[in-house]
Amino acid sequence: MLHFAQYIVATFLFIISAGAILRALRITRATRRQRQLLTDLAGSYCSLGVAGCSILCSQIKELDHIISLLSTEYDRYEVIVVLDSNLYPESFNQILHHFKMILVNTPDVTELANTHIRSLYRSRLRCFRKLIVIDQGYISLYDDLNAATTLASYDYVIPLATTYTLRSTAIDNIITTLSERDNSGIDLIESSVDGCVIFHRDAIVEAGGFSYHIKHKIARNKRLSINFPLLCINHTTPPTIYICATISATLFIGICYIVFDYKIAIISILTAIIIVVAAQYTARSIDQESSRDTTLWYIFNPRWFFCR
Amino acid sequence: MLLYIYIIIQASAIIGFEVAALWQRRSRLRQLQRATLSDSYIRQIIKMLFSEECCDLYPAADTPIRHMALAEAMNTILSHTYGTNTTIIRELTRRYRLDTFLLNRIRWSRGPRRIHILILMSAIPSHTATTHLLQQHLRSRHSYTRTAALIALLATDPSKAIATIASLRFDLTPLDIARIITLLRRGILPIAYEPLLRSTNRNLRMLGLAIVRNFGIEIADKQLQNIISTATDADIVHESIYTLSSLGRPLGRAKVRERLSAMTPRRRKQLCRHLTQAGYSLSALRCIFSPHETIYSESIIKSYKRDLVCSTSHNIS
Repeated sequence: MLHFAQYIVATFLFIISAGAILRALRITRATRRQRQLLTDLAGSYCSLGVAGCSILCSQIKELDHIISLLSTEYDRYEVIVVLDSNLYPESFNQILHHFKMILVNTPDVTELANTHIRSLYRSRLRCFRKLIVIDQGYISLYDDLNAATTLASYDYVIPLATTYTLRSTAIDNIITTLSERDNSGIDLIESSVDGCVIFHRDAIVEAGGFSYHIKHKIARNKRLSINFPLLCINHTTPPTIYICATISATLFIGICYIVFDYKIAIISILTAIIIVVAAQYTARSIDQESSRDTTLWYIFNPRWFFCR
Repeated sequence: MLLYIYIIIQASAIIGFEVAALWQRRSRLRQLQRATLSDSYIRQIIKMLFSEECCDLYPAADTPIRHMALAEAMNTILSHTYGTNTTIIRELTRRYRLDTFLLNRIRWSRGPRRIHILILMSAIPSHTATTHLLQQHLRSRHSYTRTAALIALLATDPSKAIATIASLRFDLTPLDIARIITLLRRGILPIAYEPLLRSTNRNLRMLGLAIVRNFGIEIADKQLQNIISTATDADIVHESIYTLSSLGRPLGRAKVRERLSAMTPRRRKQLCRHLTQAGYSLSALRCIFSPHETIYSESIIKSYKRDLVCSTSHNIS
């Protein structure tokens, strides 16, 4: 029985290593291909057709963050920021002043319920023409995204929370993905690397708005998975995560050695090494450098090859 | 025995990753070196183009890295200029046998590297013997390779561009068409839009519509209306309607409305949103869509303005 269990555990660990390796190779290949495509396509974006996307931001207050979202070569996109002026009056006024926003009419009728837009601002400056600021009382992230969706002008929407930043090539990557095949039936595009999701605006309206289970309301045959990253990783992993991970791995290896055999312990050590090395290789392929935080992020982000 | 096999495979995978990481670092250094060389070649070629005199490059392009750097430099120059005198480019290609080098490289490369070399082929003036090899790559299973080979083929032999596109066995995607338009913008392809719009071939028609949209050819209005009235392919009709809207032409004619009514509700909604973005007035939209469909457009158009409320009683006091 123990002999049989030993083989089961070894095979399970082997499958985990294979998954980590395949994931790293898949992400590296897709990232390299996209990078090559963007280099070859530079200067051709205006000819890419009518695909466009709206970036929906909830409670993003930093000017630098908003400026980074506005600086893209492609012209068919817009950034809609939803912010509560009562909660963050200084940040709100700073944004209005910096981007020269003017008060405009709020919509009388909205396609989604539960939108309580107090006021709406658009920028007067040509270079910031794509920025819209919505003043709405904060109830939840989903209410903010629903309010932004009602004002979105383009077919695809990218919801962004406060802690996430889009990569500088994210919009270009999304538009080329939409343009390289007939995506007329696609309602959801999801990055298997960082979990960034792009929705079709009409799919959100048909589903009644954003919610925790929005992805379950979209049919599987209308989803597309991409293997390159769209978000920047900018959180610092707390030291407790390293300690917990190290202790868990050591305990597991120890248990394998005590219960089974030294061979299972070696396989579990090699599995741990493969996971770390694959994560480092992925991080280096994407960002050309790998730090401890990015490596840990690629390990603990639950986007494994066979869990799609 | 099985456990030992697992251990060996895992150990090999770890060694493989480390070797791949070292290879990655090495290739990054080579890329940097090539980029520096390419910058130097760009400056030298631009000086030659200004003086209209071909001279030797320094350092001479006699190693594979220098050949690639020279090819990339030529690609950069031709991508960013219009109507460049290609005599000097041809002379440099002949002197350093760049086309032979790239042809040999294509045979031994795979994946993104092959695609990159095919793209470079589109910038290098080469003899028509390359046409046969490029046509082989047109039949590749990989869509990017096919597109890159198509671009190279069109650039090598522009006089047969229409015949080449008409004989394609796959449908051109918007991305493929954008890349062909880039060649047009560089002045490489002598294509007129009229025969393309009259053609029954789907790819040629889509290209013709893209040319009309990208170059804002307003006199193609009647032909677009004809296509919308008579075309059977839904994608062609869809693209024609969008092209007509990009020209700012009216869409309220009977035939156009008939075609629009045959579209699915979602497509109609997308079109309504697109027309609102394109700047069509509410009255123009009401000619095409039902009042229920224009509610969203009305609120978006209203959100671009600000009502100045002026109370008459306040003014009097």
